Amino acid sequence: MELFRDLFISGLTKGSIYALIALGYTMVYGIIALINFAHGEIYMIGAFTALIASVILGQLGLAGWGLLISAGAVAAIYAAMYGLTVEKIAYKPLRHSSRIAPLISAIGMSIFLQNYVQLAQTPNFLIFPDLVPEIDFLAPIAHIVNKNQLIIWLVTIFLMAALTLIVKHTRLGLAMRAVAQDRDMARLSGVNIDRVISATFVLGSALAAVGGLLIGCYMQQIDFYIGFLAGMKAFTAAVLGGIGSIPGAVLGALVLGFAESFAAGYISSDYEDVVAFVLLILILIVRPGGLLGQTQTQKV
Amino acid sequence: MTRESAHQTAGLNWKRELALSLLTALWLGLLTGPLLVCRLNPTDGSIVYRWPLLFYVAGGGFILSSVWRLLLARRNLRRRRAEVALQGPKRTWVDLLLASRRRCQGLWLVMLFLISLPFWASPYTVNILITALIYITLGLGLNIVVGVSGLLNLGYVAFYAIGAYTYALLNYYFGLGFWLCLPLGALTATILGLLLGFPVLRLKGDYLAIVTLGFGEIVRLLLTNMEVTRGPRGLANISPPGLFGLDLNALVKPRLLTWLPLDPNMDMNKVFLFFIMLALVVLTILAVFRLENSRLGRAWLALREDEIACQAMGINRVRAKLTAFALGATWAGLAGVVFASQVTFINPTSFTFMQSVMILSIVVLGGMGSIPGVIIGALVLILLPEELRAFADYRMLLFGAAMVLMMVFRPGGLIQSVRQVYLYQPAQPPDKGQS
Amino acid sequence: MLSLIRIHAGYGNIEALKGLDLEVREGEIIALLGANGAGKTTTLSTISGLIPPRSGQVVFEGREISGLKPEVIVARGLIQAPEGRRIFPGLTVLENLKMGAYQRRDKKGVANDLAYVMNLFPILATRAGQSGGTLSGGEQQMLALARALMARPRLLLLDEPSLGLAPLIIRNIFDIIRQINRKQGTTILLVEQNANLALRVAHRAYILTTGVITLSGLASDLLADEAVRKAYLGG
Repeated sequence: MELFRDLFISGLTKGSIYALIALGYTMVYGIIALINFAHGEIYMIGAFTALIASVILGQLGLAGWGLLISAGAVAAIYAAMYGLTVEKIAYKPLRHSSRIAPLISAIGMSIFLQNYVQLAQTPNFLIFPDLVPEIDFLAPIAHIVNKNQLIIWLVTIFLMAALTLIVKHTRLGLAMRAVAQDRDMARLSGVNIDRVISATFVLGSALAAVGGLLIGCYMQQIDFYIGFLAGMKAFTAAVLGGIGSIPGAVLGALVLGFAESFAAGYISSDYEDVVAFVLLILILIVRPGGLLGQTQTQKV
Repeated sequence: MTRESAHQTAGLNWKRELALSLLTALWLGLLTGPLLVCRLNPTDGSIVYRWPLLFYVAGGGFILSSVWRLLLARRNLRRRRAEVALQGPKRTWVDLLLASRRRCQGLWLVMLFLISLPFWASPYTVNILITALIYITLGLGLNIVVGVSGLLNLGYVAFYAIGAYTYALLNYYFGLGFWLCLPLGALTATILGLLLGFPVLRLKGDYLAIVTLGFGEIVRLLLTNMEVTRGPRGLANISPPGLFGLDLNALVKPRLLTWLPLDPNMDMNKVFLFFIMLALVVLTILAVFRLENSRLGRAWLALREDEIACQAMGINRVRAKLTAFALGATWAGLAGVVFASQVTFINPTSFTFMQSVMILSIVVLGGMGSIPGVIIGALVLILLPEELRAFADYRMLLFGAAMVLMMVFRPGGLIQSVRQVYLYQPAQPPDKGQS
Repeated sequence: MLSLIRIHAGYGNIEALKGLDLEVREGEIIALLGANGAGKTTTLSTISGLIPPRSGQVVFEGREISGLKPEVIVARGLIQAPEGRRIFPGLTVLENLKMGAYQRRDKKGVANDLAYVMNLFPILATRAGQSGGTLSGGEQQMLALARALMARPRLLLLDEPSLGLAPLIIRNIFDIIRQINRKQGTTILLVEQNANLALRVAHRAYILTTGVITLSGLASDLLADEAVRKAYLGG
């Protein structure tokens, strides 16, 4: 029973991080039908920026919750900037081209960013300080749930609530949903498509960056390659839940997190990474639209 | 006229362009500031500030921004003009070259040159060429799937790995030789291609891409973790291809050394492999060429253009898709067997997603659906990095940038496959002249 | 109010409009008629800025709008209810209406207009919380019209409002079209395949044949015209 509990908690934690990344994938896909391969790199850049920010801000005297939150804010802002720039350079000029051109461009951007960070910083892994301060009331159950896990859950829940608020109750959110459903009609309603697309990238990137910060604190080390695997799995999670659907991304991420955790615990940790892809293939065979996706009929 | 249209017709507005470039330079400097300037020391976590880099970025950003906007504007103008003028993609000098009558003679010359190569070039050159030929085969194979049929396969390396590992395993555990394993490797890969094809039949473009990506990763992870494949330790001592069990080095080399400027370090097994690969490539080109111009090939093209129209026309989509997958896999399997015998030691790290990306780049950047394009693409992608060894660290960086730039400015690839363009001209009324 | 001067426009290699001239005066209902493929929807797309004209000018209220982005044109009060209703299927009826008022900043005005259109189309009030995709064809058309009205259009472009609808609903909608024009003074450019209906509600009409205007005049005149009757009104 203890094993189950631990696996459950670890699965929930993984799933939360995947969710933060998966949301970016699903939102971008929903709005411009593009697999943003570079998104995993944005997550990684968020982690690196958070680390650099924490060192500098730490030297300036910040500590504790203040340091954590400001490092997160800096990381989110920078990730948003990167997301905007990537969109402007690699995706916007290709908005009216074939299916494969943006895909190749995205992969190219991903390779570029990976190597950019590797060259600018270091090919080795970097130690990431655990910026999460001690949480006193957690002490008695610290062996079950540690503070990092709790923070990851809370932050994820908070950010998802914030995102839902934005998407469902703001003018921007309305525009985002409208553009995702019928782009030309949105234009005829007076929506500035470029701005909405940029906003989507900003939101997705910020979320991923926070994920990067949290994973850094949790694992206490990062390297330039973390974006690749986490990105692929998060994207798998988004597809699993139904690409383009925000609740779908979260559901897919949680399902994946749990599946990986339980597979690693009960079967073998070697095959942990395989779980994601096997799960994906199985789900897509049975439900090509993903768990929460709608089967779309194509009109000719 | 309103102000907006006045600007449109006025052309270049220097102040605006200057301001935009300055802003971009500022933005890029700010953006790359933390990661470029503040370099973290892995051991003690301290930061080394490299301020000069900021100025390089700002300066470079200013120039690049202007160049970028200029090229982008020209591209858009070119496209709009081409649209209005009812033109298809322009034929470049390469297309004209290939279409010329001298083509056959040129190809014979190239063949003669290649055949003579091992007898005067260095072993290093021969080795590189074998790799290039392998990638040409891989590119042509993937071309069938992606270029001609439009099925996005991001996990093509899996079939390559299957071929290689089939030979390696059969050789390691059972001592089977190259010639027996060549068809076996191809067969295994083909079967796997069919197995992959079945579940993905219904999947739409992007879903197909991600599933194939997953498939590639699954194969790699299985190879890494299964005991029988010896995981990361890999399989070594894979025998090169034999010629009736003769020891080529002992037999042939001394005689050739006296007659030809042969490099004494040349491994004759490698030379043998080179010729095998050359023959394979020639056969592949012929096969692919025949396939593309056959009924099946046309079905594939139709599949790429519009799947639903395909179905409405009575083309068996299932058969077309499955054959595309299976045939594509076959060639990867063949290439894999040759690869295993070339490097004599394989492990899963040779078969990562990056490999799939490489092969995909060969097809897409070389020219989707165009055989000469894929060949040129393979040569460029394999030989160019060797020439640019000085920039080794920046190779992948440039590669990524090149992918983006190619897609923005020349998405059809280096050599675009030019299809027949039929121009509609209204019929001339018959001459009503009095006779 | 709106003038199209020698417009050439099309998609890719195809030129759909080959020198189109059209004029809409304030307060009018203009009908644009023609067979399928004549270029009626292309005309509206060009006016709304979805397709830039290859040559020619579109002038709205004295200012040229050819080549401007759609969102700018919408801001000037030129609103289109496109062919096929194009309701946002995942948004509720209310949200669809809010999309109509997307560019408006006057909350009070928007609230008033919301009440007005709910009054005009009571069914929308009933279904306010339902998602647009669940509405019937007729209800969607009403929603599309209401959504366009939420933008307080100076000129309203309607693309085939009668398509695929039952006769009773069509009559309802055309009554409302007439009402919007007569009571509110909204100028309307109406594209229709149903020539009979269109000519009865319009002041003037144009007939479009393969990219050029072949006939124009008072709606009543065209209704009575022999050639028109044969070609478009079933003799």
